[in-house]
Amino acid sequence: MPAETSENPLVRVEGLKLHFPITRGILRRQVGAVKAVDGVSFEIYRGETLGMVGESGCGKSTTGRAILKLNRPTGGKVYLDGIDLEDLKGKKLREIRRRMQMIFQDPYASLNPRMTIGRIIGEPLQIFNLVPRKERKGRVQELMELVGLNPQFADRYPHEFSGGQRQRVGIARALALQPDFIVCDEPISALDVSIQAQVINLLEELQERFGLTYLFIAHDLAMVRHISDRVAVMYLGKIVELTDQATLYANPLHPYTQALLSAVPIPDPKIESQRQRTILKGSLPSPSDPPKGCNFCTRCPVAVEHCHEVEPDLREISPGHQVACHLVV
Amino acid sequence: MTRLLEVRNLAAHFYTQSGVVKAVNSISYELDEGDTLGIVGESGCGKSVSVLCLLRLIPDPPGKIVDGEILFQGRDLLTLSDEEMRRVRWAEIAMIFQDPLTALNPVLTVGFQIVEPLKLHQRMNTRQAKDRAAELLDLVGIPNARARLDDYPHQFSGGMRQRVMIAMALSCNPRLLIADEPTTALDVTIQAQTIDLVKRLQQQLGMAVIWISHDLGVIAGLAKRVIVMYAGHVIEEAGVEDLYANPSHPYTIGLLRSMPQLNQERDAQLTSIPGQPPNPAALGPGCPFAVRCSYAVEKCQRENPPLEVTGEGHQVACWEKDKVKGDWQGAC
Repeated sequence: MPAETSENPLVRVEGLKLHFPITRGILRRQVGAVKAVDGVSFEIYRGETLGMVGESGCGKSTTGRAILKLNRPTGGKVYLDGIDLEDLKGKKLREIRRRMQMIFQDPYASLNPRMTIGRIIGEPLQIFNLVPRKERKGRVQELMELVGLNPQFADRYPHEFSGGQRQRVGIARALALQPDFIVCDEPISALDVSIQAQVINLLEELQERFGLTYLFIAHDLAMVRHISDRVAVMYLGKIVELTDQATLYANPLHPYTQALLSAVPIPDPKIESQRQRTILKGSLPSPSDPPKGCNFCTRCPVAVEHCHEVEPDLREISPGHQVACHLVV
Repeated sequence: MTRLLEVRNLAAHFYTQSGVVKAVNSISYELDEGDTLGIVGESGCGKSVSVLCLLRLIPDPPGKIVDGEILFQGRDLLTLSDEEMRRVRWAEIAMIFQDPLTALNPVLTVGFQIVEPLKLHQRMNTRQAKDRAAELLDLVGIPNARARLDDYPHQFSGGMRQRVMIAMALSCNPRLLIADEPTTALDVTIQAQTIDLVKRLQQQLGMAVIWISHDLGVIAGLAKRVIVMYAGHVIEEAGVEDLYANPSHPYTIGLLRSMPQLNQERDAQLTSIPGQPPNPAALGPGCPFAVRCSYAVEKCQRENPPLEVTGEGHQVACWEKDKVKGDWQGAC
């Protein structure tokens, strides 16, 4: 589903920031901030999947949560279908929330263990009162069938299901309100390899059927390439590269993207034995104390003096290919 | 090369309230000095239990090694007394775990934890042991090693903690290092660092490694031989290049196909394995993979196929292996 760039994006994010305050003392004076998301801008078009990759702590999940206003952004704007989410409150906010849903990473923690899965999937219907009470049960069964669960299991509890089945419950719950936009926050990383492919295929099938738009957050670069139309690479709260998936994987320009791709193991011993890896030194700096200049300069294999002083902007290098690096021309 | 380890018909069962869980069923393999063996499988397939048996570390009760021999440098570890076994652990066979934060004691400094086995096994005094500990941290690439001996585990990042674990494991120059999914909790860039480190140390110190992983990509770059496990059984064993070029068990093929690969064209759809792994407490007499297998015939429900040699150093447990292999070669 390649997106038409001319049409209006379904989701537009402008300079999104989310800083968590660090407080000290009994007066809880703010002494600093964890800059989890620090000025992120991108657009997601209707029917497309934007992949978002990066290491743990780079702010990719927080970005997803901030878009849905699960955490209130510190700055920046989020538009869904042209509607500014910042000023929305109460009923209006609730109405817009119906259109954007989330699938969580951990299918063990995101389902209430004391509710039957029928109630879990039916809860959004109840809250939004979309379906009359009498028809609710039928709709839940429909949803369960849709995600490949046996509708007869509606009275069972989450612990009776395997990880992959629980993730299907999470997907059915997200679909209950017929949303336009779903944030998939690492939906497969807690699952076994043979089950991951099942869930990915289901997500793709549902996207095609209902014209869904996904923000797919993951750290598995091979899986992101498989499912995404465009991919954003994040590092320390900022997007360092954003382009369509084919270009990103064939011609990565940012040194971080290059290193990230070279670190992914390939299940072929012949290739593995000949590969030259760029092994990054050190680990992610603390987002409460990011380095001066480019965020990546402390680990960058090609950094020059300029990188330690001036922060690079995300620039468009070629149509649709944005990179934040001084050395890319 | 000399044989370091020979596991013969090892079986371990757990006696639980919901029945006997046959976690490991009659598995056999060998490992030479300095070699690397990969064990691949999904959660619950018995791969961790199979290596915990080598150290006799499975909790008893409920677990019990019910059959088999573990010949390490010619000695059967299962016949050793507890005291003798204690001298083998860490000094001869060391292990690193998936989650370094739970494997390290949070209330003791890292230095204390490295020094302890050195005093115990190598009979060093405190000063010698401290010097050696600093040397080890330096070896695994922790900057400012001596100063960091006084830090606690929480003061290290995930990748650094795994390095501390590796330093601890290497402290007594073991002949065999068992790595139980050591990079699963780490980011890819840190994973690459860790794998690189273990490979380098293996070359430097000449120890053998058993590396457990669910990631066929990681195993491809590390191991010389690979064992694939499913529901407590070894279903395929081969040299690493042979396994990836000629996989002959439907499960191995399913695993390879369900992973999207960076070096290949993007597929329209992933090939997934239907269903889910069986309940290990309720395994029938047949092949444990039969219910998920597209090749399954009636015989598969009745009888569990034995591991049979299909080529040089290649063993497969499947009744339909010739057909499976033919189809794979036809598809390539």
